[in-house]
Amino acid sequence: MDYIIETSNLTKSYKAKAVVDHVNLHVKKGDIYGFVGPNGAGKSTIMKMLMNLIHPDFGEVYIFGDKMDDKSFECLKRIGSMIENPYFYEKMTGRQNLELHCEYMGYHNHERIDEVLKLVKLQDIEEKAVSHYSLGMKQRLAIARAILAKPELLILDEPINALDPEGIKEMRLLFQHLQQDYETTIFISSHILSEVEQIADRIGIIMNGKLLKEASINDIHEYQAEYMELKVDDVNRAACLLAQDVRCPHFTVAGDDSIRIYDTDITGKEISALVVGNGIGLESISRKQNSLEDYFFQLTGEEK
Amino acid sequence: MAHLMKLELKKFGLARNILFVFTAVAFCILFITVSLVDSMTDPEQTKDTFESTFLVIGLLVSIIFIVYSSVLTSSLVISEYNQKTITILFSYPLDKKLLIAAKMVIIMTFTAVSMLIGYICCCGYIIGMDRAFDMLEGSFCPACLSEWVPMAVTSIIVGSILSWWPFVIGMVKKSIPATIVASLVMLFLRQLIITKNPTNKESALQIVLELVLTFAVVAVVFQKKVTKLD
Repeated sequence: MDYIIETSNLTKSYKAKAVVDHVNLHVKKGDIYGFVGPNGAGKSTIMKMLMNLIHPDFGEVYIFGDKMDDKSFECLKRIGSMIENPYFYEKMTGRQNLELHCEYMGYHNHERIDEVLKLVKLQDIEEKAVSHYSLGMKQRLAIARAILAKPELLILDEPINALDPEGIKEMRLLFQHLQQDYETTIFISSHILSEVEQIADRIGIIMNGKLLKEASINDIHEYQAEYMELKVDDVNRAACLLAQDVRCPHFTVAGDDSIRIYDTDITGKEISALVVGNGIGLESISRKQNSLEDYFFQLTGEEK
Repeated sequence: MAHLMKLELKKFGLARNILFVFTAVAFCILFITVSLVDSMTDPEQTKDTFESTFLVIGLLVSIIFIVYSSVLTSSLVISEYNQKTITILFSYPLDKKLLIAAKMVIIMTFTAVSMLIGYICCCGYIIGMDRAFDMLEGSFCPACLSEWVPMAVTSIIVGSILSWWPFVIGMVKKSIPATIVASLVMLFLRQLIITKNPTNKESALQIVLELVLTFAVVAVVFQKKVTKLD
C-alpha cells in the first residue's frame, strides 16, 4: 500500500505526560484524510511532528515513503502546510508574504500568486499589510500560501476555523478541486465534524493522544444506520413496551426522554399507536440517521 | 548559505538599516563636536588630544553598534520565535540551522561594516576639523594610524564576536529584552577587561579566548535551542 503519510508508534510527552501516545497513522495517496478530536487531543502536536517542526520522543514518521529525521527537508518542497494559526510577517502585504514564500520554496512561477489570491477571494486586498487583515482573511491567505507551490501533500490544521459559512463552503470546494484535478493528498484537522464528513475519504479520531480509530468514510456510512427516534415522557415504560414487541428487536435508550429504534419494519404510525395506546405521552417521533458526530461521540464516550 | 543570506536580506530592510548607521555616525560626530568645542572654549579645560578622542570614538562606535546588533538579533531571530513565524520558516525545504546561521552572519557582517564606517567617518571628521579649526592638541601625523588601525581592527573583530552573545542569551530566554540587556552586559564586561590592559584593547590571547568561548557556546545553542520549537 502506498502511503503518503505513515507514522509508527509516534509518541511525544511533555512533563512526563504523553500528549501523543503510540499513534499509527496511514494516509493514502490522493485521499482527503479528516483528523478529528477534541481540543488538546494531540492533533497539532502530530501535525508539527509530520512537518518535522518537533521531534518525537519515540516512533517514526514516513512522508512519501521516506523516514523523517533531522536532515529531512527536501521533501518539504512537496508539502503545503498551515500549522496552528495563520502566521505571517504582519508588516508585509499579503502579496509580499506570498512572494517571499515563493522565494523560500524555490518556486518561481509568480503568476501563480494571482491565481491563488483569486481562488481564496483575496485579490482586491492583497496590497494591504497583513496586520490589517481579519482572522478569516488571514486564514484564507494561509490557505493560498499552502497551495501556492502546487504541493502533492497539504497538511492543514483547522483551516476553516475562522471562516464564515460561505468561506467554509468555498474552501470545501477548493479542497475537492485540488484532490480531483491535481490528485493532492490532504491531511486536514477540524472541529467541524459535519464539514469533515462532507469532504474526507478517511477519518482518524484521536483523543488524549491516542488514535482511537481510523476508518474510511464508507465504513462510517455503513455505521450510519437509519433509526426512528421517539421522545416520550416515560422512557422506562416505553422501553419495557418495546422489549415485549417482536417487531422492535433493536432499540437503545438515548437519554432521559428518547429512544432510538433500529432495523425495524414497524412504521411510525404503528409505534405511536403502541406508545400512546399504553398511556405513555409521546412528544415527537422522527426518522434520523447517525452522523459522524454520533460516531465520534460514541468512540470518545467509550474512551472516557 | 549565500542563497539563504540573499533571502534573509530581503526581510532585513537594508536601506532602513543603512540609514540608521549614518544617523548613528552623525550622532557620534555631534557628540565629539560638542566635546571638542567644550574643551576649546572652556578655559578651565585642556584641549582634547587625538589619542583621547580616538578612545572616545572607539567607545561610542562599540556601544552603539553592538547594542544595535542586539536589536537586529531581536528583530531577525528572536521575534521569529516569539511571533511563531519560525514555524513557517522551518516548514521550507531549507536547513534550519543554516537558516539561522545565515541571519547571524548578516548581523555580524553588518555590525563589523557599521563599526568600520563609524571609525572611518569619525576619524576623518576629527582630522578634517583639526586641520580647519585646530580643535585638538597637537596635529595628526600618519604615524598615528599605526596605533589607530590595530585598535580599530581589534575593536571591530571583538564587536563581531560579541554580537553573537545577545543571540545566545536571546535563544535561551526567547526574550527580546534579555537579548538587548545581554549586549549591555557584554559591553560592560569588555570595558572591564580592556581598561586593565595598558594598550586599551584586548590582547591577541584574550581575543582568541573570547572567540573560542563564543564559538563553544554558540555551537551548544545551535545544537540544543535553534530547532527546538516545543
